[in-house]
Amino acid sequence: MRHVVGIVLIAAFIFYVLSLVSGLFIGPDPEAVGPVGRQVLEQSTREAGAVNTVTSVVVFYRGFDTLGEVTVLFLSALGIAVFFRAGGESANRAGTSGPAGNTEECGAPGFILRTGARILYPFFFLFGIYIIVHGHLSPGGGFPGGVIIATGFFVAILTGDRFHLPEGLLTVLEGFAGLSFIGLGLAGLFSPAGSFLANILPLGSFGTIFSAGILPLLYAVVGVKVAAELSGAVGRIYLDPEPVEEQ
Amino acid sequence: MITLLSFLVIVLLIAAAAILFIRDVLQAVILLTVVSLLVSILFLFVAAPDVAITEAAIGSALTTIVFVVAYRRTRGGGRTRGGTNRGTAMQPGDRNISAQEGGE
Repeated sequence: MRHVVGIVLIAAFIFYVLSLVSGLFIGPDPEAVGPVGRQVLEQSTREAGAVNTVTSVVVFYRGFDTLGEVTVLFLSALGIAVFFRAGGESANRAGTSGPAGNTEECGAPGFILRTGARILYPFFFLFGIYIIVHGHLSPGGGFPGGVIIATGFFVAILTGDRFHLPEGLLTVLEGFAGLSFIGLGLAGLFSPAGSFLANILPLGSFGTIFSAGILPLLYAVVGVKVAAELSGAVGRIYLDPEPVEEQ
Repeated sequence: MITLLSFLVIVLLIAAAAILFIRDVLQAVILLTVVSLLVSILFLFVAAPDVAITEAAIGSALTTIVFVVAYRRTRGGGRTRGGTNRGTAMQPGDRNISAQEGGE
């Protein structure tokens, strides 16, 4: 049974990879993208003002979907928070925080890992912020940038320094970012365009950092939200005290 | 170009097949990271840099962190480090073995 499942999975994966490399299903021909895709390619620079067409689609044409995605992410982060808060009281009782208790069993991070992490983690934050801020100009954007910041957060935990999870700050940032997204969307309702998430700011000069109206703002908000949620989730999972051994 | 791509795809397929049959959980997680990284390179080749960045950030960084942390927090990690069954996938009969090792 296990082998059958394995072979089926491998076949599916081979199918997937073949579809990626050889253009079996999606050819390099731009005519093959369909009428909607062609229209987006033609109009996005004029309507959304973003160099990166993917960002135009994700934040401008499909901004409401992005709100839904962010909500899904929020709910899963909430689930993790609720699940791992359950053991929070036993942590104080035991008197040891998670990593201290863990590292004794698994071996503390070595000197090289600690020093390397200490040097590296600011660059993770810097790179994540760069990816978020340039979301409308170059590949990337709020989601990957937020994930990179969360990874940097984890590397910061790995330094082995006494780490306190700034839960209050993360919660405030998360809520503020979510409300800002909805607020920016609602502001569009009162603009001449009169639709949710309409572009209310001037498009600016094409290709500069202050361009594309509210797209950079929305992506920054998404980035802050993703970074805060995933940092909180990873931090909670990692720093949560070990469950008491049942004998 | 085509040679590089086919090399990438062959390594990718071998790694992906190995994940399914490998016994050591930690090795499987690392192989999953390798697959993710190779897939993100493939995405770059088919002119989808946005997806490549997201795949590299989520697939090979965050997923690995979550898996390794989860591995460490379950019986597979740490506890049975000195034991013979360190890191192997949990089998129905293994529960007694780990319980004995934990008790020693």
